[in-house]
Amino acid sequence: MKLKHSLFTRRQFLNGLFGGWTTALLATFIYPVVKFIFPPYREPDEVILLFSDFEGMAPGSVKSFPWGSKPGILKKNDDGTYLAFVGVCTHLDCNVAYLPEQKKFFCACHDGWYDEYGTNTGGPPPHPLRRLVVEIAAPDLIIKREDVE
Amino acid sequence: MPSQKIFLSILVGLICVGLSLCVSGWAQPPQQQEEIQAAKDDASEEIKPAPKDIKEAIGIYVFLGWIWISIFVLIYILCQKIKEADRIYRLKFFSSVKK
Amino acid sequence: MKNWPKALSTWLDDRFGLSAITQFLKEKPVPQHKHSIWLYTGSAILLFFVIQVVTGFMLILYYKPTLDAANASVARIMTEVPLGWIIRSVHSWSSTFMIAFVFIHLISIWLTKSYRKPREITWMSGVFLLACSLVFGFTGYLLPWDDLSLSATKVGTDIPRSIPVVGAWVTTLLRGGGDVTGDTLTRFFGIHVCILPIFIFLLLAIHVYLIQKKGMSIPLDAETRNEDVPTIPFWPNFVYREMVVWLVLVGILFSMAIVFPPSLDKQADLMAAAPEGVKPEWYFLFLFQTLKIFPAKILFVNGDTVAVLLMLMAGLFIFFLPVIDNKPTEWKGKIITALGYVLVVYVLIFSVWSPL
Repeated sequence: MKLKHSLFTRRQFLNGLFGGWTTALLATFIYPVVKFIFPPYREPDEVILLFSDFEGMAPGSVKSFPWGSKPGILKKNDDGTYLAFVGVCTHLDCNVAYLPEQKKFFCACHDGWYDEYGTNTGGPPPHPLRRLVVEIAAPDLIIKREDVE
Repeated sequence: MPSQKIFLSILVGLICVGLSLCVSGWAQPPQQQEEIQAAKDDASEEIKPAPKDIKEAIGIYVFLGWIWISIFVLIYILCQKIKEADRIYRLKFFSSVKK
Repeated sequence: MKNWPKALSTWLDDRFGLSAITQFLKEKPVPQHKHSIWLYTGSAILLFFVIQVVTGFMLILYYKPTLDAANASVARIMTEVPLGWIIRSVHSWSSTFMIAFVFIHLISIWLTKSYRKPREITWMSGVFLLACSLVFGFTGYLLPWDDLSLSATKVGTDIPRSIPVVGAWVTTLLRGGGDVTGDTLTRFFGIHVCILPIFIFLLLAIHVYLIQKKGMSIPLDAETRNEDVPTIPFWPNFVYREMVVWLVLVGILFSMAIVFPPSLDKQADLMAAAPEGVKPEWYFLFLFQTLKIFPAKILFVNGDTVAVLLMLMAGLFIFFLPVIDNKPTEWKGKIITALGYVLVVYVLIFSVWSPL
C-alpha cells in the first residue's frame, strides 16, 4: 500500500481483511445450523372438525380437539352456542381442565382459575384464555384463529 | 494499487456469479417443479433430497458461490501471511540460532 | 480500559497457565521435506471429525432410533426440517472423506515408516482410531433403516460367525439377539452416538498427545545419514498452511454434499427378500469382495472361516507393525514397505472389482 498518507500498513490491512472475511464465512455456516435447529412452528389457521361429533354435547359441557400441537377446548354454553379456547394456561403453558360443577377452568400447575368464559379470575394467570372463532357450516365445524378472516 | 484492483475484481466477480446464479435459477422453475412433483409421486418408494423451492435452490447455490469465492480470497491472503511468517522466521533463525 | 482483551487474557493465563501451550506450539518444529505433504492428512481427518460431531449433534435433535420411527424420522429430516437434507448430506459425505483420509494417513505413515521408534504407540492408537472410524461408518449405515442398510448390516454382522469358537457369540452380541431387529438398531445407535464418541475422544487425546510429545518424524534416509532437516514453527507458519488445506476441503465437501445428496429408500421390512445390489459402504468393498472370492470349502475348512481369520491376522499384523518392523533400514523393512504398496494395490483393485 503506497498511499501518501497510509492509515495502516499492508499487514494490518491484510490481517483485518482475513479476520473479517473468516468471520463472515463462519457466520454463513452458522445460518443453516440455526435454520435447522429452529424449525418454524406454525399455528394452524383453522381446523375443520365433523360437526356431528360435537352436536350431541350436553349444554355446559366441554370437549377437546387438537389445535395444532395444543389442546383446543370446545364448550357448549347453556343457550346452545359454542365457545372455543386454546386450552393452555396463559401463565406458564400448562394445559387447563374444565370443572363443570364449578363452571370454571382450572390450571393445576400453579392454581390458576378462569371463569366459564375464559376470563382469568384467580391465581397467577395474567390474561384470559385465548378464544378461537367457531363457525358451524354443516357438516363441518370450523374453528379459526381470531385474526383469520 | 494492486489491492484495490483485487478488491474491485472480487466485487465484480461476486456480482457476476450472483447474477448468473439467479438467472440460471430463474430459468429453471418448470423443471424444478416437475422434479419436486416427481419426488412427491414416488415418495413412498424413495426420497430424493432436493431444495424445497426455488428460493431455497437459489439460496443454496449463492451460498456455494460465496463459499468458493471466500476460499479463494482467504487462500490468497493466507499465502501472503505464509510468505511473511516464513520470512520473519528465517530472519530470526539466521540471526540467533545459526551454528 | 482500552487494553481489556489483553488484561483478560493475562488474568485467565494466571489461572490456567495456557501460555505454556501457546509457547510450546510456537516452538514446535515441523520438518519440511519431500514427504511433508502427508502431514496434512492428520489435520484433515480432525477437520472432518469436527464436522461429524457438529452435524451429528444436529441430526440427533430429530432422529428417532426405533424400529417404527427411524426411517420416517430420517425422511422428516430430509423433507420437513429446514435444510435437513443438506445437514444429512454433509454428515454422510464428511464420513466418506474422513475415512478416506484415515486410509491415506495410515498408508502414508506405513510407507514413510514414521511409526518407527519411539512412535510405536502413536501408530497403535491410530489403528484403534481406524477401527473406531470403521465402526462409526458401519453403525451409522444402519440408522436410516432402509432396505439396503438392513441387508448390509445382516451381512456385516454375520461375518464374525465364521470365527471358530467365539464367532456365533460375537454375532449375537452385535445384533442383540439372533437376528437383526429393532434391538440391533437401538444398539447400533447407542454405539454410534454414545460409546464410540467416548472411546474416540480418549484415543484422539492419546494420539495427539503422543504426537506432541514425540514431535514429527523425519524421513528415514535423513535420519540414518544424520542430516539436518529444515523446519518451520507449528504456529503460525504450519497452521496457515493447514488452513489452506482445510479451506479447499471444506469447499469440496459442501459442493459434493449439495450436488450429490444421499437419498433414502423405503423403510426396511424385516420379512422382505433382500433387495438387489446389496453392498456395504465403499470402504468395506474390498473386504466384501475378498469374502466373495473365497471358495465355500478349502480342504476341510469353511472358506469364510479362512478368509475371516486371514483378515484378523492382517489386522493384528497392522497393529503390531512398528514392533515387527524393528529394523527399518534392512531387508525386512524394505519388504514391509513393499507390502504397503501391495496393500494399496489390493485395496484399489478389489474395491473397483467389487461393484463390477
